[in-house]
Amino acid sequence: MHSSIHQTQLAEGATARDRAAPKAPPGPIWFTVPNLVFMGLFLLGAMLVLIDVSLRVYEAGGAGVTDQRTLQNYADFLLDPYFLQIVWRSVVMAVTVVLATLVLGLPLAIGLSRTTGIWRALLYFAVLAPLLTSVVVRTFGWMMLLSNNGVINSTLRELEIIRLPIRMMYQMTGVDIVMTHVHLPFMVLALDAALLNINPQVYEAARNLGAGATRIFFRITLPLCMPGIVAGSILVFALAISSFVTPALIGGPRNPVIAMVIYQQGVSLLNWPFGAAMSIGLMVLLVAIMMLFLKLTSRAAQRAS
Amino acid sequence: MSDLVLSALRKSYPGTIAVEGLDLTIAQGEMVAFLGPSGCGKTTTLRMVAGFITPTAGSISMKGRDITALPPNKRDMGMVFQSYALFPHMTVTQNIMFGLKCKKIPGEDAAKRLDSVLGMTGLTALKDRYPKQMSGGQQQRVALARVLALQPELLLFDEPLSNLDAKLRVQMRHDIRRLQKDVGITSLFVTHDQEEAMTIADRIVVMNKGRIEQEGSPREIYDHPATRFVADFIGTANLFEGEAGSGQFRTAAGLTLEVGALAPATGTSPALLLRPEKLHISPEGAPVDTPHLTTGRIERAVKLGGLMEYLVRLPSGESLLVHRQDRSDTGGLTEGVTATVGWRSEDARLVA
Repeated sequence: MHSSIHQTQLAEGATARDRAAPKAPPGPIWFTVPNLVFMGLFLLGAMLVLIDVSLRVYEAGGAGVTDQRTLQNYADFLLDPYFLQIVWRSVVMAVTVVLATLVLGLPLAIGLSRTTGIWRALLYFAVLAPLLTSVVVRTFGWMMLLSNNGVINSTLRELEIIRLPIRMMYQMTGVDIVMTHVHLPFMVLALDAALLNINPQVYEAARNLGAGATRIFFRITLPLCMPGIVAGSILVFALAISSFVTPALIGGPRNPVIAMVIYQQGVSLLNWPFGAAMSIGLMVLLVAIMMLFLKLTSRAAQRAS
Repeated sequence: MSDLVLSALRKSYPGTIAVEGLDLTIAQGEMVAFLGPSGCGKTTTLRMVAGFITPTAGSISMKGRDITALPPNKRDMGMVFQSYALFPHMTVTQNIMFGLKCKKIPGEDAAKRLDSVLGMTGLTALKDRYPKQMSGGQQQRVALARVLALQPELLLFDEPLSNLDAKLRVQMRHDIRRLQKDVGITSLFVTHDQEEAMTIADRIVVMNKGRIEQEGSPREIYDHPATRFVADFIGTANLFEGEAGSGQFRTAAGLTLEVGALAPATGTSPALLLRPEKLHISPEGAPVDTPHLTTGRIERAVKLGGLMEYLVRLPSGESLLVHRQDRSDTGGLTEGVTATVGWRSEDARLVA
């Protein structure tokens, strides 16, 4: 020891930290101007054009989009069982995908949220990896797996587990499988963010109070990650119900979803007014379902946040 | 009767040892504080007792039953966390009922216990609030009520007051102590705040680098520190390195201090401890009534609330901190003045 005397006052106790998270001051309003201009022109503006087009009369083989206005396009869409069946199929598919990504994504997200360091980085990358390939390439990959002579069916036949192939291609089953794969990362990321928000000492407190794993999952983890479940479900639902490439390639023309018939009307049949009316209908449906869902879950989500 | 026995408890991680061969016996109804700097192993020890960390070696037993391998939810102990760890989606009542449901306490008994702990912690009026609608102090009381409702054998406190503001912290110390005594529950309290440990505990266990440095009552720890670390960590200390002779202590810088007969200390090179508040200071030439004295120049005089603190530079270059009750006059003790510092034999101690 260099100094022969030392006096030290260890008053470590005076380190009361203020745990309240500092809130960022609201930024100047004009920071939002570039975004508002962009959205105003290309979202709101485009939407107004779309609404306008949806109200026009279309003359097939003649004048095309005319200047006359009508509500007939909406009536044609909403009163035709063929189109309603397509809407129903799309909603069922989107809900199935939401439920499947939730069931598969929750354990994955819990694992991810509890991993740290390099392992977390690797796992995170693995979750995001499917997004790195183009959706078209990925869908063709799945076609090779799912077709009647594909990898899955031929393996099962080789192993003599089945004799006739399990039909997955050109079926909604195949669409559901591939859509779940495609949308899983969005669900996992939303759930992971919510799970990371939970104070880990809360789990310890629950165990200390005598709770087993099952009770902790249903009474603590699940309610506390409600905000993530809501966010992930809305995200996946919106992406799934408006998806085009995967249902078109996997489901085929015999299993059309909304986006496919809109495409058909707009691009193949050049009936822009009818396509526009269906697009607006899809948007209204999406907003309505989201509002309903938010209303149902808001109390639980609010308490958990 | 001993309630909790830790024997040869050890926890090591690759490259580090968090807790090394800890032996401790805690009696029924006793409140023991683990005190030490960050990383001394106090929290690791508490978490091993709670079952959140599996010990590398050694055993933990409660009421004679070995519980080392028992999972946390099967141990009969309540833990109060630094972050309160309340369930944010549940009201105060639901937070308290959670544990009662886990332990399958029948409805009538559970309701009775709920009312009782709400009353004890003064939370009856707040029972339908959610945690985020309450202040930190109120939340900490919910955390306490939640574990008291289970009537556990042992209470564990993991720095429960360190997120509260200074005034509230002092109030909560007394509240916790009163509740603990009323209920008569054996408790372990981890803190890095010596004042908190002194106020709350029957016995303090000072830890350093994974080992117990000293254990004893607050007074023993303060008045009879066994080691330099304890002397330095608790309160303010003047510590002199050097050599003890007969009735004298020769400091490393060559100053001879008269100390009278000193009780020998363990260890090969003991240090001399003089507590600042045990020293008497007067201007040079004034009469002194302590048997031993030395002189030096007052280099710094600072008012610390009701105390004056003087830094006295000795001729050897070493320095002494002296505390004196502040009075309305300076007593001629101003910066730059030469002063006499005196002490009694019983106030000088050798520490290992």
